[in-house]
Amino acid sequence: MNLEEYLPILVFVGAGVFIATVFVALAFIRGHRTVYDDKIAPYECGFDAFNTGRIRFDIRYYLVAILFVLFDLEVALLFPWAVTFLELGWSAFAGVFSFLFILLIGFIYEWKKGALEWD
Amino acid sequence: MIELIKPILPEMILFFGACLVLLLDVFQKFVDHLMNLSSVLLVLCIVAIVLGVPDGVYYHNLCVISMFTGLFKIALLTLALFQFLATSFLMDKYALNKNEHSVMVLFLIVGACVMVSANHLMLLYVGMEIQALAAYTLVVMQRKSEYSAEAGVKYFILGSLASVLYLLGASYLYGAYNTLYLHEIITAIKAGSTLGGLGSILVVSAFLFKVGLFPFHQWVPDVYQGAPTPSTSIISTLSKVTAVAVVLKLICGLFYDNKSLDTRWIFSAIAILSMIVGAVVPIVQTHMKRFLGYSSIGHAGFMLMGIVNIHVVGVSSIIAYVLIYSLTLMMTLICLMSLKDKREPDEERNDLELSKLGGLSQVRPKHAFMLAVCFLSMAGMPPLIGFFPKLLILQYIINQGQMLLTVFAIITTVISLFYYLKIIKLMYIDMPTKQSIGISVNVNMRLLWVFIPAVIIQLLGCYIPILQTIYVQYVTPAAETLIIGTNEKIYS
Repeated sequence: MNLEEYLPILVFVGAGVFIATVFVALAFIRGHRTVYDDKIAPYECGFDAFNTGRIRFDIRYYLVAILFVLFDLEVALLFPWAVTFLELGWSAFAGVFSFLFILLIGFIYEWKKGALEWD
Repeated sequence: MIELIKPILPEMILFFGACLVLLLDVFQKFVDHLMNLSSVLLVLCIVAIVLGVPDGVYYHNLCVISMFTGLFKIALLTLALFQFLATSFLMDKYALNKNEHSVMVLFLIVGACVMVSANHLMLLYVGMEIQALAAYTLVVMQRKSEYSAEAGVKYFILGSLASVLYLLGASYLYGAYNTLYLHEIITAIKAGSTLGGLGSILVVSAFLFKVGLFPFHQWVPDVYQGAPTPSTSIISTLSKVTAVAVVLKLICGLFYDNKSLDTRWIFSAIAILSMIVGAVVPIVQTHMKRFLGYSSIGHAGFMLMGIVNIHVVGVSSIIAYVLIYSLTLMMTLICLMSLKDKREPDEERNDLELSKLGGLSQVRPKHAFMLAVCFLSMAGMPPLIGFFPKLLILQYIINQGQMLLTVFAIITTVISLFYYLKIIKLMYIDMPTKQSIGISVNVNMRLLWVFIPAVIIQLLGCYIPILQTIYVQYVTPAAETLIIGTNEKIYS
């Protein structure tokens, strides 16, 4: 098995671990710490905290977050394609549009199912 | 244009058909006929496979069409068709949207067909994820039931573990051979390398997980029990058939004629331990689906024995075993589905306690007979069809001189006969109680359209010549394309 080529990666990982450990250890040993109530209290935009962080909240937040990720990724995929549109040609066009077709079906489905309503 | 998509026409039909069914359901059009539409799609797909392109590789070696892929795809579609026909009038008892359920089954089959045909490790991964995501969705589909959600989360987390194993193995293989094409890896791996051996073991073990073999079997009973029964019957048959197909493809490719890597002891150990789990643990189970889950581990171990020494006869007997076993298991689950009372989903978990089967022969004689036939077939009693593949595999391992495996196989089969007979005793000798299932059920007589062909298929075991014809004409050539044709015929 020929693993010598992976040596730089090992060195890199080692250096990363070393530097991170040193900085955390330095902060831990040398750091000046004072703990008082206001400092460790949950911070909520300048208000006093309304509640603990461990309450239940509406599943629609998750739903919106998931949909956001989905369409965000779509844009992230479309931008590089649009920039290099002329060089990539028709096969890339077909690929992107089959992707958009699948997303469109999903979008129609979620719209009709009421996943985008907020009441 | 039509020439361009012809090799993947079956998958295209299923995919666009599934999208169509999804949209029609969400727009509330033809809601009552959508399961029939799905069945029609499956039939179209079978026709497309039968009339499809000649054997070979397509799309720059990405996709293989051969006797093997055709056989497995048709088997998957037929199983799904069977399920659709039976459940189209049973689904109302479950708190499920039956149209979305069938859409998910269609997507699962798309993923399964991609997996069976794939010749590229990443394409295989994509197929595996499509199939697995559809399966997770099927498990959690009963939204009001916490057991369904629990089973779904377990399945999802453990399934992503399998994906991780697969991706790690694929990256090792890529590191060792600088290619992701399966046929190039198969050619290169004969030279042998530690990294490549490690990678191939990891890749195969991801699919051993999907089959539910010994070290990776813990999810099987939990998921089978928690999922709504229609989903259980899909996961336990369609997913398992696909996983077995991919395991066969990978093992025959990666480990056949591979002098540097002796995997015989690994697979013998996995087979023996799976058979022991599948023989001992079901004895103490009190829930029907959990019982079936554990016994399916034993059956998977029995199947795996056929591949300890890689040979055409062993591979073809595994194919015969997995197809016949899946059909029998699906019949059992359809039978149990038809006995379900219409109740709240949360009671579903206790619905199939074994004690509730007591005296079923007096309450529902047809169902009891059907279940008894299925159980005896799974145990491998001679007049029924389940005897045939068991005989093939035992004959094969005895010819190979694997005496240790033979001894364990026979002992565990005898033990498993005990617990199958225990259930038959429950149904035929015990008295019915108020708790017995099936008392208050209004059984739809149309179910006989499924039961009668099922019993006929089971009784085919009485007439060996027809089975032998099918076996020699279709199953053995499929196994041959897998082993002999891997490099010479197909990739020329």
